[in-house]
Amino acid sequence: MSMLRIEDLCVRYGAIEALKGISLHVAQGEIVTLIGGNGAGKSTLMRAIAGLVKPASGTIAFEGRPIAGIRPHHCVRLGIGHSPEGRLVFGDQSVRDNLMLGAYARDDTDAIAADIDKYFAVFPRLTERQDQQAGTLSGGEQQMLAIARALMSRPKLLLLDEPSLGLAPLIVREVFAVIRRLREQGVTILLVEQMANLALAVADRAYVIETGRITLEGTGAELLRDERVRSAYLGA
Amino acid sequence: MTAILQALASGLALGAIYGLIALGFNITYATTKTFNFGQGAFLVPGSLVGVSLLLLAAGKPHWGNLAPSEMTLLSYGLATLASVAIVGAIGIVLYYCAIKPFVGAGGLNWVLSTIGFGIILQNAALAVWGPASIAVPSPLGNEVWRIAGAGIRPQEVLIAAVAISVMVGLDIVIRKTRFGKALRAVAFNPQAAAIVGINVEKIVIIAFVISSSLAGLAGMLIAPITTASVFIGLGVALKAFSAAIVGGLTNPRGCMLGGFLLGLIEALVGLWRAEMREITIFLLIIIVLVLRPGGLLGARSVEKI
Repeated sequence: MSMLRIEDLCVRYGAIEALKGISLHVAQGEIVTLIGGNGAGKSTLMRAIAGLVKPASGTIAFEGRPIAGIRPHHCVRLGIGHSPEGRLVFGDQSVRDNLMLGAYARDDTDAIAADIDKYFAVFPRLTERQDQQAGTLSGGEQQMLAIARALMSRPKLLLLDEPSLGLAPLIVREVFAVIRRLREQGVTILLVEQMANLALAVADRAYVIETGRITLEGTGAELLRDERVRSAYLGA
Repeated sequence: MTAILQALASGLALGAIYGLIALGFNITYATTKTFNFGQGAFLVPGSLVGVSLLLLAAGKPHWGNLAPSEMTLLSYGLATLASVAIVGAIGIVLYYCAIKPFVGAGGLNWVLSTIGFGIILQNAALAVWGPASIAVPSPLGNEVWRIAGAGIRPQEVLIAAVAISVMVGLDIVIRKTRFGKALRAVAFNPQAAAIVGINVEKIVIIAFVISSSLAGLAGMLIAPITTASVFIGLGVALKAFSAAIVGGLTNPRGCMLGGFLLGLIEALVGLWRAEMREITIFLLIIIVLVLRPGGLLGARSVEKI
Protein backbone atom coordinates (compact mmCIF):
# COMPACT_ATOMS: atom_id res chain seq x y z
CA MET A 1 0.00 0.00 0.00
CA SER A 2 1.19 3.48 -0.73
CA MET A 3 1.93 5.68 2.22
CA LEU A 4 0.74 8.70 0.26
CA ARG A 5 -1.62 8.51 -2.71
CA ILE A 6 -2.86 11.59 -4.52
CA GLU A 7 -5.55 11.36 -7.18
CA ASP A 8 -6.56 14.08 -9.61
CA LEU A 9 -5.73 16.92 -7.21
CA CYS A 10 -6.74 20.44 -8.20
CA VAL A 11 -5.85 23.58 -6.26
CA ARG A 12 -7.01 27.08 -7.16
CA TYR A 13 -5.86 30.46 -5.93
CA GLY A 14 -8.82 32.61 -6.91
CA ALA A 15 -9.05 32.37 -10.68
CA ILE A 16 -5.60 30.80 -11.06
CA GLU A 17 -5.43 27.03 -11.32
CA ALA A 18 -2.18 26.09 -9.61
CA LEU A 19 -2.65 22.30 -9.79
CA LYS A 20 -4.70 20.82 -12.63
CA GLY A 21 -5.26 17.20 -11.72
CA ILE A 22 -2.13 15.79 -10.12
CA SER A 23 -1.87 12.07 -9.37
CA LEU A 24 1.13 10.54 -7.65
CA HIS A 25 2.06 8.10 -4.92
CA VAL A 26 4.87 7.58 -2.44
CA ALA A 27 5.57 4.14 -0.96
CA GLN A 28 6.92 3.46 2.51
CA GLY A 29 10.69 4.05 2.70
CA GLU A 30 10.94 5.75 -0.71
CA ILE A 31 12.51 9.05 -1.60
CA VAL A 32 10.37 10.61 -4.29
CA THR A 33 11.31 13.90 -5.86
CA LEU A 34 9.31 16.47 -7.75
CA ILE A 35 11.22 18.55 -10.25
CA GLY A 36 9.94 21.43 -12.27
CA GLY A 37 10.43 25.11 -12.95
CA ASN A 38 9.39 28.12 -10.95
CA GLY A 39 5.63 28.33 -10.54
CA ALA A 40 5.07 24.78 -11.80
CA GLY A 41 3.05 24.03 -8.65
CA LYS A 42 5.60 22.05 -6.62
CA SER A 43 5.25 24.03 -3.41
CA THR A 44 1.49 24.25 -3.80
CA LEU A 45 1.37 20.47 -3.87
CA MET A 46 3.48 20.26 -0.72
CA ARG A 47 1.28 22.84 1.00
CA ALA A 48 -1.85 20.91 0.04
CA ILE A 49 -0.42 17.70 1.55
CA ALA A 50 0.52 19.57 4.75
CA GLY A 51 -2.98 21.06 5.03
CA LEU A 52 -1.94 24.65 4.38
CA VAL A 53 -4.09 25.04 1.27
CA LYS A 54 -7.48 23.46 0.63
CA PRO A 55 -7.78 21.54 -2.62
CA ALA A 56 -10.64 22.46 -4.95
CA SER A 57 -11.09 18.80 -5.89
CA GLY A 58 -9.35 15.45 -5.89
CA THR A 59 -8.17 13.23 -3.04
CA ILE A 60 -5.11 12.94 -0.84
CA ALA A 61 -4.87 9.68 1.09
CA PHE A 62 -2.27 9.18 3.80
CA GLU A 63 -1.96 5.57 4.97
CA GLY A 64 -5.32 4.97 3.31
CA ARG A 65 -7.05 7.80 5.19
CA PRO A 66 -8.42 10.78 3.24
CA ILE A 67 -6.73 13.96 4.47
CA ALA A 68 -7.53 16.57 1.80
CA GLY A 69 -8.70 19.75 3.48
CA ILE A 70 -7.92 18.82 7.09
CA ARG A 71 -6.09 21.42 9.15
CA PRO A 72 -2.27 21.41 9.30
CA HIS A 73 -1.92 20.58 13.00
CA HIS A 74 -3.94 17.42 12.38
CA CYS A 75 -1.64 16.46 9.49
CA VAL A 76 1.32 16.66 11.87
CA ARG A 77 -0.44 14.38 14.34
CA LEU A 78 -1.09 11.83 11.59
CA GLY A 79 2.63 11.72 10.81
CA ILE A 80 3.40 14.30 8.15
CA GLY A 81 6.42 16.50 8.86
CA HIS A 82 7.00 19.60 6.75
CA SER A 83 10.25 21.48 6.19
CA PRO A 84 8.79 24.39 4.22
CA GLU A 85 10.16 26.49 1.40
CA GLY A 86 11.97 29.47 2.91
CA ARG A 87 12.64 27.42 6.06
CA LEU A 88 10.41 29.53 8.34
CA VAL A 89 12.34 28.81 11.52
CA PHE A 90 11.10 30.76 14.55
CA GLY A 91 13.70 33.53 14.33
CA ASP A 92 13.06 35.08 17.73
CA GLN A 93 13.38 31.82 19.66
CA SER A 94 16.43 29.73 20.49
CA VAL A 95 17.58 26.80 18.38
CA ARG A 96 16.66 24.46 21.23
CA ASP A 97 13.17 25.98 21.56
CA ASN A 98 12.66 25.61 17.81
CA LEU A 99 13.32 21.89 18.19
CA MET A 100 11.04 21.72 21.24
CA LEU A 101 8.29 23.37 19.19
CA GLY A 102 8.90 20.79 16.47
CA ALA A 103 7.71 18.22 18.98
CA TYR A 104 4.62 20.28 19.91
CA ALA A 105 2.25 17.49 18.88
CA ARG A 106 4.02 14.98 21.16
CA ASP A 107 3.77 14.63 24.92
CA ASP A 108 6.48 12.04 25.64
CA THR A 109 8.84 14.50 27.39
CA ASP A 110 11.75 12.09 27.93
CA ALA A 111 11.76 10.88 24.35
CA ILE A 112 11.60 14.47 23.13
CA ALA A 113 14.75 15.32 25.09
CA ALA A 114 16.43 12.22 23.66
CA ASP A 115 15.43 13.22 20.12
CA ILE A 116 16.87 16.70 20.59
CA ASP A 117 20.19 15.12 21.58
CA LYS A 118 19.92 12.80 18.59
CA TYR A 119 19.52 15.66 16.12
CA PHE A 120 22.24 17.66 17.83
CA ALA A 121 24.47 14.66 17.04
CA VAL A 122 23.30 14.66 13.41
CA PHE A 123 23.73 18.44 13.10
CA PRO A 124 26.75 19.38 15.26
CA ARG A 125 26.52 23.02 14.14
CA LEU A 126 23.13 23.28 15.82
CA THR A 127 24.61 22.01 19.09
CA GLU A 128 27.10 24.85 19.16
CA ARG A 129 24.32 27.34 18.60
CA GLN A 130 21.54 25.80 20.66
CA ASP A 131 21.01 28.89 22.85
CA GLN A 132 21.29 31.35 19.96
CA GLN A 133 18.20 32.91 18.39
CA ALA A 134 17.39 30.97 15.21
CA GLY A 135 17.22 34.23 13.24
CA THR A 136 20.94 34.77 13.79
CA LEU A 137 21.90 31.46 12.11
CA SER A 138 23.32 31.31 8.59
CA GLY A 139 21.06 30.13 5.78
CA GLY A 140 22.55 26.64 5.81
CA GLU A 141 22.18 26.35 9.57
CA GLN A 142 18.57 27.50 9.34
CA GLN A 143 17.95 24.82 6.70
CA MET A 144 19.41 22.15 9.00
CA LEU A 145 17.22 23.50 11.81
CA ALA A 146 14.09 23.44 9.63
CA ILE A 147 14.76 19.79 8.72
CA ALA A 148 15.53 18.83 12.32
CA ARG A 149 12.43 20.67 13.52
CA ALA A 150 10.26 18.73 11.06
CA LEU A 151 11.87 15.46 12.18
CA MET A 152 11.12 16.27 15.83
CA SER A 153 7.47 15.35 15.23
CA ARG A 154 8.70 11.82 14.34
CA PRO A 155 7.01 11.97 10.94
CA LYS A 156 6.29 8.89 8.87
CA LEU A 157 6.50 11.11 5.80
CA LEU A 158 8.84 14.09 5.53
CA LEU A 159 8.00 16.86 3.08
CA LEU A 160 11.22 18.63 2.12
CA ASP A 161 10.54 21.79 0.15
CA GLU A 162 13.52 23.35 -1.66
CA PRO A 163 16.18 22.48 0.92
CA SER A 164 18.97 23.89 -1.29
CA LEU A 165 17.32 27.25 -1.92
CA GLY A 166 19.76 30.12 -1.45
CA LEU A 167 22.58 27.96 -0.11
CA ALA A 168 26.21 27.88 -1.16
CA PRO A 169 27.20 24.76 -3.17
CA LEU A 170 29.24 23.33 -0.29
CA ILE A 171 26.27 23.64 2.08
CA VAL A 172 23.95 22.11 -0.53
CA ARG A 173 26.19 19.05 -0.58
CA GLU A 174 25.91 18.85 3.20
CA VAL A 175 22.11 19.04 3.04
CA PHE A 176 21.99 16.19 0.52
CA ALA A 177 24.32 14.12 2.71
CA VAL A 178 21.72 14.54 5.45
CA ILE A 179 18.94 13.42 3.09
CA ARG A 180 20.93 10.27 2.24
CA ARG A 181 21.42 9.57 5.94
CA LEU A 182 17.68 9.96 6.57
CA ARG A 183 17.00 7.45 3.81
CA GLU A 184 19.30 4.95 5.52
CA GLN A 185 17.19 5.44 8.66
CA GLY A 186 14.08 4.53 6.66
CA VAL A 187 12.40 7.96 6.62
CA THR A 188 10.00 8.32 3.70
CA ILE A 189 10.65 11.58 1.89
CA LEU A 190 8.88 13.67 -0.70
CA LEU A 191 11.48 16.13 -1.98
CA VAL A 192 10.85 19.26 -4.01
CA GLU A 193 14.02 20.63 -5.53
CA GLN A 194 15.27 23.03 -8.18
CA MET A 195 18.65 21.32 -8.32
CA ALA A 196 17.29 18.51 -10.45
CA ASN A 197 20.56 16.61 -10.91
CA LEU A 198 21.13 16.31 -7.16
CA ALA A 199 17.51 15.45 -6.48
CA LEU A 200 17.34 12.76 -9.18
CA ALA A 201 20.59 11.23 -7.96
CA VAL A 202 19.22 10.76 -4.47
CA ALA A 203 15.65 9.79 -5.42
CA ASP A 204 14.17 6.33 -5.95
CA ARG A 205 11.48 7.76 -8.19
CA ALA A 206 10.71 11.16 -9.62
CA TYR A 207 7.91 13.18 -11.19
CA VAL A 208 8.30 16.15 -13.51
CA ILE A 209 5.66 18.80 -12.93
CA GLU A 210 4.92 21.54 -15.46
CA THR A 211 2.25 24.25 -15.06
CA GLY A 212 0.22 22.22 -12.62
CA ARG A 213 0.41 18.84 -14.38
CA ILE A 214 2.64 15.78 -14.10
CA THR A 215 4.31 15.40 -17.48
CA LEU A 216 6.81 12.64 -16.83
CA GLU A 217 7.56 10.01 -14.22
CA GLY A 218 10.15 7.30 -13.69
CA THR A 219 13.01 6.21 -11.51
CA GLY A 220 15.63 8.79 -10.62
CA ALA A 221 18.14 7.10 -12.91
CA GLU A 222 15.69 6.99 -15.84
CA LEU A 223 14.90 10.67 -15.63
CA LEU A 224 18.59 11.56 -15.29
CA ARG A 225 19.07 9.95 -18.73
CA ASP A 226 15.87 11.32 -20.26
CA GLU A 227 16.58 13.77 -23.09
CA ARG A 228 13.66 16.08 -22.28
CA VAL A 229 14.69 16.26 -18.62
CA ARG A 230 18.33 16.80 -19.54
CA SER A 231 17.58 19.73 -21.81
CA ALA A 232 14.91 21.37 -19.63
CA TYR A 233 16.26 20.85 -16.10
CA LEU A 234 19.83 19.66 -16.21
CA GLY A 235 21.17 22.26 -18.61
CA ALA A 236 22.62 19.59 -20.91
CA MET B 1 7.80 66.81 48.01
CA THR B 2 4.89 64.97 49.58
CA ALA B 3 2.76 66.09 46.67
CA ILE B 4 5.24 64.55 44.25
CA LEU B 5 5.25 61.31 46.23
CA GLN B 6 1.46 61.27 46.11
CA ALA B 7 1.49 61.90 42.38
CA LEU B 8 4.03 59.13 41.87
CA ALA B 9 1.77 56.68 43.68
CA SER B 10 -1.25 57.72 41.62
CA GLY B 11 0.80 57.64 38.43
CA LEU B 12 2.11 54.18 39.19
CA ALA B 13 -1.40 52.86 39.81
CA LEU B 14 -2.83 54.54 36.73
CA GLY B 15 0.17 53.39 34.69
CA ALA B 16 -0.34 49.83 35.87
CA ILE B 17 -3.92 49.96 34.58
CA TYR B 18 -2.76 51.32 31.22
CA GLY B 19 -0.03 48.69 31.12
CA LEU B 20 -2.49 45.84 31.74
CA ILE B 21 -4.78 46.92 28.93
CA ALA B 22 -1.86 47.70 26.61
CA LEU B 23 -0.50 44.19 27.21
CA GLY B 24 -3.86 42.90 26.03
CA PHE B 25 -3.50 44.88 22.80
CA ASN B 26 -0.03 43.38 22.32
CA ILE B 27 -1.09 39.76 22.79
CA THR B 28 -3.79 39.81 20.12
CA TYR B 29 -1.86 42.08 17.78
CA ALA B 30 1.16 39.79 17.88
CA THR B 31 -0.91 36.73 16.97
CA THR B 32 -3.44 38.17 14.52
CA LYS B 33 -2.30 41.72 13.59
CA THR B 34 -5.65 42.83 14.99
CA PHE B 35 -6.81 44.01 18.38
CA ASN B 36 -9.99 45.10 20.04
CA PHE B 37 -10.64 48.76 19.26
CA GLY B 38 -13.66 48.51 21.55
CA GLN B 39 -11.51 47.37 24.47
CA GLY B 40 -12.76 50.28 26.61
CA ALA B 41 -16.22 48.76 26.67
CA PHE B 42 -14.76 45.58 28.21
CA LEU B 43 -13.88 47.51 31.38
CA VAL B 44 -17.61 48.14 31.85
CA PRO B 45 -18.78 44.57 32.53
CA GLY B 46 -15.43 44.09 34.27
CA SER B 47 -16.44 46.50 36.99
CA LEU B 48 -20.25 46.28 36.92
CA VAL B 49 -20.51 42.47 36.99
CA GLY B 50 -18.11 42.30 39.93
CA VAL B 51 -19.88 45.05 41.85
CA SER B 52 -23.29 43.52 41.19
CA LEU B 53 -22.07 40.16 42.46
CA LEU B 54 -20.93 41.87 45.67
CA LEU B 55 -24.30 43.65 45.97
CA LEU B 56 -26.25 40.43 45.42
CA ALA B 57 -24.07 38.67 47.98
CA ALA B 58 -24.98 41.45 50.44
CA GLY B 59 -28.68 40.76 49.80
CA LYS B 60 -29.25 43.91 47.74
CA PRO B 61 -30.52 44.34 44.17
CA HIS B 62 -27.83 44.28 41.47
CA TRP B 63 -27.83 48.07 41.25
CA GLY B 64 -27.17 50.29 44.24
CA ASN B 65 -24.36 51.68 46.31
CA LEU B 66 -22.03 49.34 48.05
CA ALA B 67 -21.12 50.06 51.68
CA PRO B 68 -17.55 49.39 52.86
CA SER B 69 -18.91 46.94 55.47
CA GLU B 70 -20.48 44.84 52.71
CA MET B 71 -17.13 43.86 51.22
CA THR B 72 -13.97 42.14 52.39
CA LEU B 73 -10.69 41.69 50.59
CA LEU B 74 -11.70 38.07 49.99
CA SER B 75 -15.14 38.83 48.57
CA TYR B 76 -13.66 41.56 46.38
CA GLY B 77 -11.05 39.08 45.19
CA LEU B 78 -13.65 36.44 44.38
CA ALA B 79 -15.89 38.95 42.61
CA THR B 80 -12.86 40.08 40.59
CA LEU B 81 -12.08 36.51 39.54
CA ALA B 82 -15.70 35.94 38.49
CA SER B 83 -15.72 39.19 36.57
CA VAL B 84 -12.43 38.39 34.84
CA ALA B 85 -13.78 34.96 33.83
CA ILE B 86 -17.00 36.44 32.42
CA VAL B 87 -15.23 39.17 30.46
CA GLY B 88 -12.75 36.53 29.23
CA ALA B 89 -15.70 34.52 27.92
CA ILE B 90 -17.01 37.65 26.17
CA GLY B 91 -13.58 37.69 24.47
CA ILE B 92 -14.45 34.36 22.81
CA VAL B 93 -17.70 35.86 21.48
CA LEU B 94 -15.72 38.89 20.29
CA TYR B 95 -13.33 36.62 18.38
CA TYR B 96 -16.07 34.72 16.56
CA CYS B 97 -18.25 37.78 15.80
CA ALA B 98 -15.77 40.57 15.13
CA ILE B 99 -12.36 39.07 14.36
CA LYS B 100 -12.67 35.67 12.70
CA PRO B 101 -14.78 36.83 9.74
CA PHE B 102 -12.22 39.53 8.87
CA VAL B 103 -8.80 38.35 10.02
CA GLY B 104 -6.28 37.74 7.25
CA ALA B 105 -8.61 39.26 4.66
CA GLY B 106 -6.74 42.57 4.65
CA GLY B 107 -8.55 45.85 4.98
CA LEU B 108 -9.81 47.53 8.10
CA ASN B 109 -13.15 45.79 8.59
CA TRP B 110 -11.95 44.40 11.92
CA VAL B 111 -11.49 47.96 13.20
CA LEU B 112 -15.15 48.78 12.69
CA SER B 113 -16.36 45.36 13.78
CA THR B 114 -14.51 45.56 17.11
CA ILE B 115 -15.65 49.15 17.72
CA GLY B 116 -19.19 48.01 16.90
CA PHE B 117 -18.95 45.04 19.25
CA GLY B 118 -17.80 47.39 22.02
CA ILE B 119 -20.71 49.76 21.42
CA ILE B 120 -23.16 46.85 21.53
CA LEU B 121 -21.59 45.65 24.77
CA GLN B 122 -21.70 49.11 26.31
CA ASN B 123 -25.34 49.62 25.37
CA ALA B 124 -26.28 46.19 26.65
CA ALA B 125 -24.68 47.23 29.95
CA LEU B 126 -26.64 50.48 29.80
CA ALA B 127 -29.87 48.46 29.53
CA VAL B 128 -28.95 46.35 32.56
CA TRP B 129 -27.36 48.94 34.86
CA GLY B 130 -28.57 52.32 33.59
CA PRO B 131 -26.43 55.44 33.16
CA ALA B 132 -25.76 56.37 36.80
CA SER B 133 -22.51 55.40 38.44
CA ILE B 134 -22.09 53.15 41.44
CA ALA B 135 -19.73 54.22 44.22
CA VAL B 136 -17.43 51.34 45.10
CA PRO B 137 -15.36 51.31 48.28
CA SER B 138 -11.83 49.94 48.26
CA PRO B 139 -11.50 46.53 49.92
CA LEU B 140 -8.52 47.98 51.80
CA GLY B 141 -10.69 50.83 53.14
CA ASN B 142 -11.06 54.38 51.95
CA GLU B 143 -8.91 55.83 54.72
CA VAL B 144 -5.82 57.48 53.21
CA TRP B 145 -2.53 55.90 54.27
CA ARG B 146 0.23 58.24 55.46
CA ILE B 147 3.55 57.16 54.02
CA ALA B 148 6.51 59.55 54.55
CA GLY B 149 4.04 62.37 55.01
CA ALA B 150 2.28 61.68 51.70
CA GLY B 151 -1.36 60.61 51.60
CA ILE B 152 -1.70 57.49 49.49
CA ARG B 153 -4.97 55.82 48.66
CA PRO B 154 -4.95 52.13 49.59
CA GLN B 155 -6.67 51.19 46.33
CA GLU B 156 -3.72 52.65 44.43
CA VAL B 157 -1.41 50.31 46.29
CA LEU B 158 -3.73 47.37 45.58
CA ILE B 159 -3.93 48.28 41.86
CA ALA B 160 -0.17 48.52 41.54
CA ALA B 161 0.42 45.26 43.45
CA VAL B 162 -2.15 43.22 41.54
CA ALA B 163 -1.40 44.67 38.11
CA ILE B 164 2.37 44.36 38.46
CA SER B 165 2.03 40.75 39.68
CA VAL B 166 -0.20 39.89 36.72
CA MET B 167 2.20 41.57 34.28
CA VAL B 168 5.27 39.82 35.72
CA GLY B 169 3.36 36.54 35.68
CA LEU B 170 2.30 36.95 32.07
CA ASP B 171 5.80 37.98 31.06
CA ILE B 172 7.14 34.73 32.52
CA VAL B 173 4.38 32.70 30.84
CA ILE B 174 5.14 34.27 27.45
CA ARG B 175 8.89 33.69 27.72
CA LYS B 176 9.17 30.36 29.52
CA THR B 177 6.15 28.12 29.11
CA ARG B 178 5.14 25.78 26.31
CA PHE B 179 2.04 27.90 25.75
CA GLY B 180 4.13 31.08 25.65
CA LYS B 181 6.51 29.62 23.10
CA ALA B 182 3.59 28.47 20.97
CA LEU B 183 2.07 31.97 21.25
CA ARG B 184 5.33 33.51 20.07
CA ALA B 185 5.58 30.95 17.28
CA VAL B 186 2.11 31.97 16.04
CA ALA B 187 3.15 35.62 16.36
CA PHE B 188 6.30 34.97 14.32
CA ASN B 189 4.57 33.10 11.52
CA PRO B 190 1.17 31.37 11.79
CA GLN B 191 1.88 28.91 8.96
CA ALA B 192 5.20 27.86 10.47
CA ALA B 193 3.39 27.36 13.78
CA ALA B 194 0.69 25.27 12.11
CA ILE B 195 3.15 22.88 10.46
CA VAL B 196 4.82 22.00 13.75
CA GLY B 197 1.41 20.95 15.05
CA ILE B 198 0.20 24.07 16.85
CA ASN B 199 -3.54 24.65 16.63
CA VAL B 200 -3.24 28.28 15.60
CA GLU B 201 -6.89 29.19 16.05
CA LYS B 202 -6.88 27.83 19.59
CA ILE B 203 -3.87 29.98 20.49
CA VAL B 204 -5.55 33.02 18.91
CA ILE B 205 -8.75 32.46 20.89
CA ILE B 206 -6.75 32.17 24.12
CA ALA B 207 -5.01 35.42 23.19
CA PHE B 208 -8.38 37.17 22.91
CA VAL B 209 -9.53 35.65 26.19
CA ILE B 210 -6.37 36.93 27.93
CA SER B 211 -6.72 40.34 26.34
CA SER B 212 -10.38 40.67 27.36
CA SER B 213 -9.70 39.33 30.85
CA LEU B 214 -7.03 41.97 31.34
CA ALA B 215 -9.54 44.69 30.45
CA GLY B 216 -12.06 43.13 32.83
CA LEU B 217 -9.47 43.08 35.60
CA ALA B 218 -8.60 46.70 34.91
CA GLY B 219 -12.28 47.64 35.19
CA MET B 220 -12.66 45.97 38.57
CA LEU B 221 -9.39 47.41 39.90
CA ILE B 222 -10.16 50.94 38.86
CA ALA B 223 -13.81 50.98 40.00
CA PRO B 224 -13.05 52.09 43.61
CA ILE B 225 -11.21 55.11 42.17
CA THR B 226 -13.44 56.13 39.28
CA THR B 227 -16.74 54.52 40.45
CA ALA B 228 -18.32 51.78 38.36
CA SER B 229 -20.36 52.95 35.39
CA VAL B 230 -21.12 52.34 31.76
CA PHE B 231 -18.85 55.24 30.82
CA ILE B 232 -15.57 54.42 32.59
CA GLY B 233 -13.79 52.60 29.80
CA LEU B 234 -13.29 54.82 26.79
CA GLY B 235 -10.77 57.35 28.12
CA VAL B 236 -8.74 54.70 29.90
CA ALA B 237 -8.59 52.45 26.84
CA LEU B 238 -7.52 55.35 24.63
CA LYS B 239 -4.60 56.05 26.98
CA ALA B 240 -3.76 52.33 27.08
CA PHE B 241 -3.79 52.25 23.29
CA SER B 242 -1.43 55.23 23.24
CA ALA B 243 0.76 53.45 25.78
CA ALA B 244 0.96 50.39 23.55
CA ILE B 245 1.91 52.46 20.51
CA VAL B 246 4.50 54.52 22.40
CA GLY B 247 6.05 51.49 24.09
CA GLY B 248 5.93 49.34 20.96
CA LEU B 249 2.79 47.38 20.05
CA THR B 250 4.89 44.36 19.07
CA ASN B 251 6.74 44.12 22.38
CA PRO B 252 4.92 43.05 25.57
CA ARG B 253 7.48 44.73 27.78
CA GLY B 254 7.28 47.85 25.66
CA CYS B 255 3.50 47.98 26.21
CA MET B 256 3.91 47.71 29.97
CA LEU B 257 6.66 50.36 29.96
CA GLY B 258 4.46 52.65 27.85
CA GLY B 259 1.65 52.23 30.39
CA PHE B 260 3.78 53.26 33.36
CA LEU B 261 5.34 56.11 31.42
CA LEU B 262 1.96 57.56 30.48
CA GLY B 263 0.52 57.09 33.96
CA LEU B 264 3.47 58.81 35.64
CA ILE B 265 3.61 61.70 33.17
CA GLU B 266 -0.12 62.21 33.51
CA ALA B 267 0.04 62.32 37.31
CA LEU B 268 3.16 64.49 37.53
CA VAL B 269 2.07 67.02 34.91
CA GLY B 270 -1.39 67.08 36.50
CA LEU B 271 0.30 68.21 39.69
CA TRP B 272 1.59 71.25 37.89
CA ARG B 273 -1.33 72.22 35.66
CA ALA B 274 -4.19 69.85 35.10
CA GLU B 275 -5.03 71.26 31.66
CA MET B 276 -1.47 70.60 30.46
CA ARG B 277 -1.82 66.87 31.15
CA GLU B 278 -3.27 65.68 27.87
CA ILE B 279 -1.36 68.27 25.86
CA THR B 280 1.96 67.09 27.28
CA ILE B 281 1.14 63.40 26.85
CA PHE B 282 0.07 63.60 23.25
CA LEU B 283 2.91 65.95 22.30
CA LEU B 284 5.35 63.48 23.80
CA ILE B 285 3.69 60.62 21.95
CA ILE B 286 4.13 62.42 18.65
CA ILE B 287 7.79 63.21 19.40
CA VAL B 288 8.51 59.59 20.38
CA LEU B 289 6.84 58.26 17.25
CA VAL B 290 8.76 60.63 15.00
CA LEU B 291 12.06 59.53 16.54
CA ARG B 292 11.18 55.85 16.93
CA PRO B 293 8.34 54.89 14.60
CA GLY B 294 8.06 51.38 16.07
CA GLY B 295 7.71 52.70 19.62
CA LEU B 296 10.32 52.73 22.38
CA LEU B 297 10.85 48.96 22.47
CA GLY B 298 9.33 48.16 19.08
CA ALA B 299 10.57 44.88 17.65
CA ARG B 300 13.59 44.90 15.39
CA SER B 301 13.41 42.02 12.98
CA VAL B 302 16.29 39.56 13.22
CA GLU B 303 14.91 37.34 10.47
CA LYS B 304 17.42 36.36 7.81
CA ILE B 305 16.29 35.90 4.27
